[in-house]
Amino acid sequence: MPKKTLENLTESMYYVLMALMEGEKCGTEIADYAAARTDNAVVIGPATLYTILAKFQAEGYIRETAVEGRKRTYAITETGLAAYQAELRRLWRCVMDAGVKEVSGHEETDTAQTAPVPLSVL
Amino acid sequence: MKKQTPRKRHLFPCPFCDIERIQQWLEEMHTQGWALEKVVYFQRLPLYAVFRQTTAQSVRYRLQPAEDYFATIDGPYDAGRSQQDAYREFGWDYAARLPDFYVFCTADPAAPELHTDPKVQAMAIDRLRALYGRGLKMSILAWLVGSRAILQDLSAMLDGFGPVIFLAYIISLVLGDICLLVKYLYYRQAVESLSAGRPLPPMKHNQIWRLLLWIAVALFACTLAAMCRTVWVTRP
Repeated sequence: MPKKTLENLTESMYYVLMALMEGEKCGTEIADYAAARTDNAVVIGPATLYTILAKFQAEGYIRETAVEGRKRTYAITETGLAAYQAELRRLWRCVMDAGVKEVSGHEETDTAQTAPVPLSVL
Repeated sequence: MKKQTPRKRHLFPCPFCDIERIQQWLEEMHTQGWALEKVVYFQRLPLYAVFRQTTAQSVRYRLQPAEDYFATIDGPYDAGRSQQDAYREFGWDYAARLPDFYVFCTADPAAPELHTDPKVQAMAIDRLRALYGRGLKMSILAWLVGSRAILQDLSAMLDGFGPVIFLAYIISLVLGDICLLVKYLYYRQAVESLSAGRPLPPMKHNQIWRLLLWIAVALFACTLAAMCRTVWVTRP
């Protein structure tokens, strides 16, 4: 249930943290980043976005860095960075456990053993 | 002289916690040319919705759980200005406030859905579940711990008003608590459903709960009226 939701970040939560990994951003910039990064596969609606931002602030994952008029800018914290990296590791393990299959033309190659593992993640 | 926009008052067709049904009803009203303008309250009880005539068109209405439940109805009871502005950037306009929700609407088909992640929506609704859970606990505690004292005091106070009035008063309180329980159970069900990635569940026995609420309100109002009458008649 909700308290446990942050144990595994949802897709939208993950992209919110990813957006903030690249620097301070306001709400609309975060939503635009997620849409652009995923070719509109991940669209974050305003209620979802601001619920996540409020929850992340309460959990100490992000902090507000500037308020210009009605525009609020957020930055990721050390706790948020740790949560992002933990989720990245979890996702990476999921992919590795599945054994990444790359289908190139008619040839199927198992890349599980050869896929480069980002050292910063593991 | 400036012509006044026609307006229409309408009772709510279902309990306010039935999110899907309320959204659907508001959308149907808009396609008939009636846009939600405001909700009229008596204390914290929403009495009816006021609609103003507008161009009949297909729009989307969405309910977002409110964060300031304990704020006063005057002024700050509405969604905050910064929240309204933030949502407007996504194409959503603030329409009105229901007890537990802010109502937003958009005529832009390209505007993203208000909620795009059911698990996050579950988090938002869970605040309401927790709120009603606390209310319910307080109420049960009051009945258990203070019932004797409360009932003694009340019965002494209401003695002069007659047993029927006293009974009506107690029934109205019990029915009010039942409505509280129904809301709590529905929000809990909604949170469970959304957390599992399923859509909002339909609310069962919709009309019965609505009827119970109105019976509670009517009984409470009758009790107050009867008390006032008794005081008036027996005045020195």
